[in-house]
This record gives sequence, C-alpha cells and structure tokens, in this order.
Amino acid sequence: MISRSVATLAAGLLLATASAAPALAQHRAPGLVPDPASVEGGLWGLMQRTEEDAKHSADLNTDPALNDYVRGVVCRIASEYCGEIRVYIMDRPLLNASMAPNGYIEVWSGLLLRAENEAQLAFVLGHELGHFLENHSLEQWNTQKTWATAALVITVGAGVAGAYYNVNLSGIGDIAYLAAISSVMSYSRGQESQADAIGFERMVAAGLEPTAAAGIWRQQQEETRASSFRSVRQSEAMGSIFRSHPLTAERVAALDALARGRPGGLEERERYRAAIRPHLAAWLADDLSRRDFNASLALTERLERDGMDLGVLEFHRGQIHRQRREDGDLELARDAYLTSTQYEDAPVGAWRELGDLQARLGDPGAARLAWRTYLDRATTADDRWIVEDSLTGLEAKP
Amino acid sequence: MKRLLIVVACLLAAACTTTSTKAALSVTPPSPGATIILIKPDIELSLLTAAGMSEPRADWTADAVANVQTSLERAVSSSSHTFRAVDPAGAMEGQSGQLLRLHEAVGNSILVFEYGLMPLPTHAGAFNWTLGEGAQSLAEQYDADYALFTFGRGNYASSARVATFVVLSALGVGIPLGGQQVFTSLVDLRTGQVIWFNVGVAGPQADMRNPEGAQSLVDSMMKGAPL
Repeated sequence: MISRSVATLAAGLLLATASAAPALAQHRAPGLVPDPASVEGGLWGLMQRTEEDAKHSADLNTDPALNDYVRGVVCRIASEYCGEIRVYIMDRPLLNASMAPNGYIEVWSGLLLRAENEAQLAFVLGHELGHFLENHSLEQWNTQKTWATAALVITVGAGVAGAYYNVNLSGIGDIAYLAAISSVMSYSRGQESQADAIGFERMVAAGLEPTAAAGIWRQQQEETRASSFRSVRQSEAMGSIFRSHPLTAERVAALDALARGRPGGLEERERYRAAIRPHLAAWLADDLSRRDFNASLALTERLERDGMDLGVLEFHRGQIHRQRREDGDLELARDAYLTSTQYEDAPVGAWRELGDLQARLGDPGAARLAWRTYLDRATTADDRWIVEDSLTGLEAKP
Repeated sequence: MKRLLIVVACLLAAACTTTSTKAALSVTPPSPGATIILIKPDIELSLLTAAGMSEPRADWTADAVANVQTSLERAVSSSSHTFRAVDPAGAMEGQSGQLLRLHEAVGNSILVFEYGLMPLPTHAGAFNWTLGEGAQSLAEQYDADYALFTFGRGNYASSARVATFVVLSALGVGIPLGGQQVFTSLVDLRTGQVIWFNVGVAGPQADMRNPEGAQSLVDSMMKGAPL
C-alpha cells in the first residue's frame, strides 16, 4: 500500500515536470541590494568574486570606445538599470553573453563579431538583462532546492517502504532524481523563453527592428549547418528533457511569432559596424583559432553582404583558405588576397601572403610585385627581412 | 540504540579542532623584528540544506573574515615581529595580484597533493613548495619579509539537515553534517618558499561566525607557527 502511494508520488513528479515553468513576475526594482543573510545575498557574494576575476582577466577588452558603445546599448534598452549594470567585454571567440545576479554582464567578442547590427546586440543584451530583472538565478536555485528535497523525501520513503515490505524500491529513488533533474532543466528552458520575450520587448521599445531577434538565431543556425565538424552540425537536432536551453528552431519560431504584425524599427547597421571596426581584424583572427574553417567562411560571407570592410574580410577569407588546405584552397586563397588588395582597408599582410602564394603557384613576376609592394608599405614590420630574403631568392633564379 | 551511540561517539570525536602541520625542513624561521604581512583571510561559508546543497551565506562569510582577521592580529600581537594587514581587494592589479592568485593555486595544490590521497611523485620527499622568486615583488611593494595567508571554506548544517541526519541515522544511513576546513601558510617573500603550512578542521567550539569561536580556531591553527 505504502509502496503504491510512493510510486504514485514519483509518477506525479514526472508528470509535474511537464508543467513546471517560471511565472513572469514584476521586474526587480532598480538599485535593489539584497540582505547579506538572504539566499540572494549569498549569490551576490559569490558573484562579486567572479566579477573580481573578470576585472583582472587577461581576456578583458579595455578599449574605452567599445566599452562605452556596449554600455550605451544596455542603457538604450534599460535606462532605469543603466547605473547599476557593469559591462565586461571579453575577447573570446564564441557567441556568448552572460549576466550575473548581482548585475554584471560579460559580453564575448564572438557575439560582437556575429551580431549584424545594433538591434541584434540589443536583443541579446536584453535577453541577459531579462534573467537579471526576473531574478532567474535565485528562482533556479530555489527550484533546485525544492526538487532536491522532494527527491530526497521520496527516496527515503521508498527506502522505508522497501524495508518494511522487503522489496527493492531503489528504482523509485532513481526515478525521483531523474524527475528532479528534468524538471529543473524544464524550468531553465522556461526561463530562457521568458528572457527571450523580455529582450525582444525591450529592444522593440527602444525603436529597434523586431525581426532582428529571430535574425541572430537564424544566422547562428546557418553557421552551425556550415560547420566543418559533424558533431557541431548535428548538435541542434537532439531535443531532450535534460537540455537547459530550448532548441534554436523553437526560439526562432517563438520570436517570429512575437515580431509578426509589429511596425519596423531601426537596425543601426553602420553605427554598429563602426563601433566594432577597430577590433574586426583581431576578432576574425581569434575566430580562426577554433579551426572550424567552413563556419568561419560562412561568417565571413555574411559579414561581406553589407559591403563594408571588404579589404579586411577578403584578407581573412584568404587566411581561412590558406589554413584549410583542401583541394583548390591555394588558388582560392590567392584570389581572396588579390581581391583584398583592391580595397583601401586591405591589411598590409595581404601583399606578403599574396606574394607567397603567387610564388608557390608559379608566377614569380606577380610574387615579386606583391612582395615589393609589401616592403614599400610595411616600412617598420619585423618580418621585412623574411620577405627581402624571399625576394632575393626569387631574383637569383634564372 | 546502538546506532545512536555510534552517532554520539562520532560527534564527540570531532569535538575539537584538529590540525595537521607541514614545514619546509631546510628553512630557518623568521628572525626577530622581521616584517610580516597578514593577507586578509579568504573565507567562504555556506548553509548545508536538507538535501545537501551548499547555499552561500554572505553574512557568515563577512563575519568570519572579520573575526578571523581580528583573531590573527591578536594571536601574533605578542610576537617580536612587525605585522601589517593587507587587503587583496585593493592589491589585485599587476604582478602582486598575480602572486596572490598564484598563492591560492599553490595553497590548494598543497592541500590536494600533501594532504590528499594522491601524492605527487615529484613531491614525495621533503615539503618543498614555492611561489618562485617573483614573490620578491610583493616583498618590495609592502616592504615585508614574510606573508601569512589564511584560506577557509565550509558549510554549516541547517536544522532541516540535522533532522534528515537523525532520520537517516535511524535507518542506518550516514550523511555529512557539514564542516569547515582552513589552511594558513607562511611564505618567505625573499625566496617565495612556503616555509610553514597548517590545515585545520574546525571543531564545534571553533565556529568562526562568532569572535570566540574564531579565536579558538585561530589559536589552534597558529599553535606551532614559527612566529
């Protein structure tokens, strides 16, 4: 009898996981500081340490202009919280941003490189802000605590009942723990959807383009599909009750639904590109360290669509092909470097690489021309002697 | 009844702070009049919930840091050395910040490899750990000869946890009731060498959340210190 009621309880737990979702409450008041004796105060204490680490991280990007710009976007969508939110930009080549419950936000360069315009950045920042405004870390903690306790109670109950009736009911304990984990993950997915909605509304209220929200996820899907790695290409296909985030396809559909019928807004493409331009070359080079060449190519093509920064982007395309080394990559790399040199913003290295490839592809005349141009332009480069030596070697040949 | 007795025996066995010291063999202790910086203790305390989650408590942490700091200053006040308190929060920039972080890494490595189950083959013999000669920059910055570090982590059982403990004990299942571990280390800033290291597990009388408990803990920790 007892064992049956314990089993019913466990089954009820599993069913409850389907309906566990966070309730949208009123946003936290601006400037709120929790009592140090509260759970939230404890989380703040931990996060202050993490924030100290962020402040002294070697990855921290301290360019004042870029920091002012990103902080400006935060204030554009959340002016009432503008004073209490701290922004840290990290030079890390992955699409990521995160917000801590004590009000500091980390924005990774991989996100800044992938956002196409200010509206997209504002949406992602608004999403992170949503977690902060709705106290999601605290809710998540309390949910975990509740489910952990429930699972403990059921496990003990099953143990007692099992001992009494002399049967092994440890399976019920396992079910209770799995139910607890899946329900916490389901709760987390609910929070993500909620944060998406908050980010969307805040971005639109700031006069920005509603379709930008789904746009950044579509771009990410495109890049994922283009990846050189099968595991990355397949990563999106598997839904699971143990996932912390909803599938990108579901998020896109939800954000499309939100954007339907809304009047258009500003994208701020040029303003955005102008803000990240000084870092574009360095971030692209960082992106190559992932060695996901096909994804990098997809990203480069997308960034080229706006017709800006073509010298830098074509040089990067050359770098990708040169390092990928598949059939025909030498020629593709040469063509990309050659195209790059046609633009005002071509990095000086484009002529060095172009000379190298022309020499390897058997055109010494073109190689000589490119290297000479490099030496003319790169008057203070450390590697001049290498190029001079290559040039001498080329001229010594009959 | 028998189980309950075992439980009581376990509790009594942990009734006082236990420490375990390691010291570098070849190093002489600080000479009289040496200047020693007391780095502000790095302590984090939390509440152990019924199901065994550690819930951070900022108030306990702040109290413990202040209490341990005061107790440390009192413990060394009668010594012939000069002591100066340093708060790392204001010193995390540049190379000194790197060294403070390095000490955290070295201290935790000592904890794992000198006190843990897996000794490092390269550290099998004498106690020999160092921050390297770069520690001299701390010596210059603070005009000091030695630095004393304190690091503490731990949790205290909630009443719900204690109730769970009692219920499960009756069923013959043991669960941890929380505990606090502290280490202190004395570093020679001229050479970077960790010359003295002590690890303690706080007993019930050494609750660092209150001043008396913190004093008891610090006294046990500093008993054999070469200061």
